[in-house]
Amino acid sequence: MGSRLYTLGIVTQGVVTSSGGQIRPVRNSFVYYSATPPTPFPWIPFQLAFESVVWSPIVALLHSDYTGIAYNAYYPARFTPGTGHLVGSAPSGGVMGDRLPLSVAITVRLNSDFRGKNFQGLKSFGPVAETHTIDDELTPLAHAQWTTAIGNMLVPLLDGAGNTWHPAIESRVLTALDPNPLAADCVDMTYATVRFRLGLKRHRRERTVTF
Amino acid sequence: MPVLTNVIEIVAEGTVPFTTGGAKVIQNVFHYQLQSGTPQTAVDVAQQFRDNKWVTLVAQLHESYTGVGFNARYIDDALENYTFLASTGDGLITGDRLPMDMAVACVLRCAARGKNFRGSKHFTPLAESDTLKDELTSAAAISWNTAIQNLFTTINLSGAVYIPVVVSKTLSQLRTNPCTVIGSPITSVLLNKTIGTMRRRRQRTSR
Repeated sequence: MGSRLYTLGIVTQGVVTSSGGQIRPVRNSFVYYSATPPTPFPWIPFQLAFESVVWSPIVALLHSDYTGIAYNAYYPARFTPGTGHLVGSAPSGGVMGDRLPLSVAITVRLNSDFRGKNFQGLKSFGPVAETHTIDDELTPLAHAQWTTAIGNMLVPLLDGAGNTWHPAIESRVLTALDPNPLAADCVDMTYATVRFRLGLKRHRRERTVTF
Repeated sequence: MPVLTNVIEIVAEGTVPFTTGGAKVIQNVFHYQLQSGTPQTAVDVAQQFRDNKWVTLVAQLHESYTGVGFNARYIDDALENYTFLASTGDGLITGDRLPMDMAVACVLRCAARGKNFRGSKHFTPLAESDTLKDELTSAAAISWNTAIQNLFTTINLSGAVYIPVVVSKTLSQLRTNPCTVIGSPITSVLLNKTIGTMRRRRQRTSR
């Protein structure tokens, strides 16, 4: 089920300076697969395609405190052993004004055509601008903007060598259990739904500062 | 282990409407122990708590908080029922508010050692105007600290003196008589400037 030999991941790396001056890392990872054996390709065109199609529309909706650093693109070790490739510099957040605490995030549910929790996913994007929210939820306008931006996550990407990379949900659990050490268990990401309610990402919160 | 007697439990209850409709019940629980004097009725102690302590704290909450009332009883007796006292205070700070799971947190410390003798309180809903990014603003931190320090001082009523305590629910036996209440008096209260989380109070998912 969903066993893929040719997968790659790309992690967007950024930082946010908290009110107390702490530098908090904010990362988001995405997985893609190729249905056919990919020909060797340079990373830069893939990174540019990812940035222009997927990440730029998303990061434009983040608060301006988000400072993009780089992308870390990699093949999972089971495909081609090796370290990650730090490529390019990532854009920074575009919404000005005050922001919510770092532990508040926009939550996106990812679904595939397969049943079961191994083939569902979740993405949490932050920091969130106050102008995008009202009480516990996104404003209707912000929700519409986020839905448009998130829709690009479902678009297949082309790299510089003509390979097509499909967005995927990878099950780390099933991949680890797979008897074929070269395969990753991932399936096509077919739905991405932005929740109205604001989510939590407690790992990102500022470490406690006392009065 | 410090065994306490004449311990009163006061539950402050209020509601906050969700963005999508419906409301969340917010409860904050406090414990006070009789230090000197003769025991007073639970409802009298709760009234003193409401009028002298809670009133300053509830003024720091967002206006969406509607006070419902206080339930109070002595937890030394497992068979004693709660006595209800109506609330007189709602939140006062106007403007937009943070999500319900964002809370002002404070740490309670005692002379006794160990995690059974430490506590924390989370107060919500919070006004956006009281916060700047991840923390309380300087002005809000000062006023919150004043309210919290006041909350954990003694209650004096008709010659009786009640002191705030941390009750260990793990070490205590409160289900059947005779009850054993294990806890320790609070010696210091520390306000966190960082906005805390209280996940149980968050709104249910809406898509």
